[in-house]
Amino acid sequence: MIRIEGLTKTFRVHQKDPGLRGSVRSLFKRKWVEKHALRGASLAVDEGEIVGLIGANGAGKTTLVKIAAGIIHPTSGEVKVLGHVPFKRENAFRSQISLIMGQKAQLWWDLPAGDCFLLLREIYKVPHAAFKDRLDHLATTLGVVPQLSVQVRRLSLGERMKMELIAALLHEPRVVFLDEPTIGLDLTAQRAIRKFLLDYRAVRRPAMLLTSHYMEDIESLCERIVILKDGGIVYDGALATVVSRYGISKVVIAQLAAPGAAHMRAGDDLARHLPGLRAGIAEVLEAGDSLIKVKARKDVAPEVAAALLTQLTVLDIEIEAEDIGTVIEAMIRKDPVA
Amino acid sequence: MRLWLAVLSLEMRKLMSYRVDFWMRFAGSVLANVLVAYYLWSAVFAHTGREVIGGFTFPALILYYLLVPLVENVARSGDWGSIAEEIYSGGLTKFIVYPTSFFPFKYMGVLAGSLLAVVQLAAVLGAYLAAKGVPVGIDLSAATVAGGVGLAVVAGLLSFLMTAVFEQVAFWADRVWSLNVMLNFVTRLLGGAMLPLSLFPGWCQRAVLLTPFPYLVSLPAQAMMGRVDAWQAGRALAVMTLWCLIFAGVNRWLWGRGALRYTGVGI
Repeated sequence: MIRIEGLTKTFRVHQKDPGLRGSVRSLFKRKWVEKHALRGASLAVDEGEIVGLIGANGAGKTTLVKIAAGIIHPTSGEVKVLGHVPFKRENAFRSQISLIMGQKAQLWWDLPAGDCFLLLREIYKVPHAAFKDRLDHLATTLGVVPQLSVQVRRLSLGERMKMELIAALLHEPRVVFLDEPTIGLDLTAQRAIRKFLLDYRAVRRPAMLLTSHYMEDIESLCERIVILKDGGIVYDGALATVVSRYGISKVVIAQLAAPGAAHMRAGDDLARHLPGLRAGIAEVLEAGDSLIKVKARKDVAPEVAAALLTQLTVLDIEIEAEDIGTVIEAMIRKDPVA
Repeated sequence: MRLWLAVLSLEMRKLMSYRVDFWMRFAGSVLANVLVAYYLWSAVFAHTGREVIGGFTFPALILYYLLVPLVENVARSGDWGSIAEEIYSGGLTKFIVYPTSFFPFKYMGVLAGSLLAVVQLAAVLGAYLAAKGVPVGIDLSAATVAGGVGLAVVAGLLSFLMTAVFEQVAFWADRVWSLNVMLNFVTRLLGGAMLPLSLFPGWCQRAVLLTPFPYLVSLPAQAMMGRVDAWQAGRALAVMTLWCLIFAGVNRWLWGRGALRYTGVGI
C-alpha cells in the first residue's frame, strides 16, 4: 500500500548568527545551508501493518510521513501510496488517507467537534447512515459522546486527541499516518488511544505509519520498526528481533539476603568490588542493601552472575535482556548496521 | 455543492461563535467611520460655505460614509491574512490532506462574512433611513440597494482573489503582514473609502477605474445611492470579471510553485 524507493529530501535553511549583530546582518545578507532530511530511504508497508518510524529529532521521520501524505514534495525518489503519487494530491488518493498529528490540531478550534464532523462527512462524502453509525461507534468507544457538543478549544488535550482520531477515521481510510499521536497525554489516555488503534487495525486492516518518541507506543502497536538516522534507514525489520540481533548487553539482577552492595555506586566497574572478576566487563547500574543491578556484555553475563552468586549472599538472581528502548537508542547513536 | 454549503454554514457558525467580537467589529467600524466623517466634513462644509462638494451635499456625504464600512464589510469581510497564516504556521497541511480545494474553502469564509454583513447593512441602513430619510438628490431605493449589494458580493470575490495573490508570497517570504497592510491602505485610498473618488482629479479618476480598487468599495456604495446606471454597472461587472480571471490565473501559477516550497512546519 505504501512503496517508497530511494527517497531524498533536501531543505534549504537560513542560518542566522546569534545575537543582535547576526540579526542586523541577516537583513542584508543571508547564509543558506542545505539540510539533507532524507538520504535515499526505501520501505514498503502492507495492508494491516503498523510500522513504527523511530529516530532522534531531525532523523527524517516526519519528513518521510509528510512526503508519503503528499504534504511536501520530495527532492528525488519514488513514492506510491495506494498506487498514487502523493504530491499530485488527487482526490482519489486523499479520500483514502488520514493524517493524525499529535502536535497540531486539525479540527476547527472555535466549533464543537460535532460540527466539525458534519463538515468532514461532506468533505469525504460519507453516506448519512454510515456516518451516524461510525460516529456513534467511535465516540462511544473513545468515551467522548458528551464532549461532541463542546467547542474544540475547550476540550482537554486527551479529549481533543480523541476527537482528532475520530475525525481522521470517520471516512475509514486505507492508509493512516500517525505523527506522535499520544504526545503530552496522560497514561490512561495513551493506553486508551493505543487500544483503540489496535482494535481499529484488527477490523479495518489499514496500513499505518507511526512516528513516536514513546517506546510504549512502539512496543504496543508495532510488530515492525524502521529506524532512521540522519535521513537514512539503519534498520527495517521485526521489533522482536531488535534485541536479539542488536542487544549487546544483559542486565543481571540479584536480590541480596544480607547487605553486601551498599557501598557500590552506579557506574562503578564491578571488578573493583568483586575480586577475580575481569575488569571492564560489568558496570553497576543500581546497588543497595537488598539489591544489585549490573549491566554486562551478553557473552560474559553468566560469568558475572557466577561472581555475584559466589561473592555475595544472593537470594535470587535473574538475567534479563536489555531494555528495547536502550537497544534502539544505542542503534540510533552508533548505527550498528551501517 | 452540498460541500460548499456545509463549509459556508460552518464559516457562518464560526463568525457567530464570539458574539461580543461579532457586534463590536460591526458597530465599531460603522460608528468610527461615520463619526470621523461627520466632524471632519461638517467643518469643511462650514469653512468653505459650499453646499455641494464633489457632487455630494453634506447629508449625502454622511450617507456615503455610512455605506462605505457596510460595503467594506460585505466586500472585504474575509479573514485578512488567513491564507498567509496557514502557510506560515503549517495550517495549510489539513487542507492538503482533505480531498477538497483550498481556495474555494477559504472563499466560503469570505462569502459567509459577506452574507452576515448584508444582514447588518440592511438593518443599519433601514434604521438610518427611518430616522433621517433619504437625503435630497439621492435616488436610493430597494432596487439600487439590491444592485449595490450584488456588486459588493462580486467585489468580495475580486477582493479575495486579489488578496490571495499577495498572501501566497508567504510561500517565499514566510511573513507578509506588511504587504497586507499596504494593500489594505491602497484599497481604502483608491477604493474611495477615505475620500469619495469624485474628489480626485479627473485624470486620476480615469486611471483608478482601470484598477480593481474602486469596484471594491466606492462603486457598490455609489450604486446603492442610485449614482450608477445600468451601463456603468455592466461595465463595472465586466472589469471585475476580467480582474478576477487575471488574479485567478496568477493564484494558480503561484500555488503550483509555492506548493513545491511548502514545508508544513509545526508537525
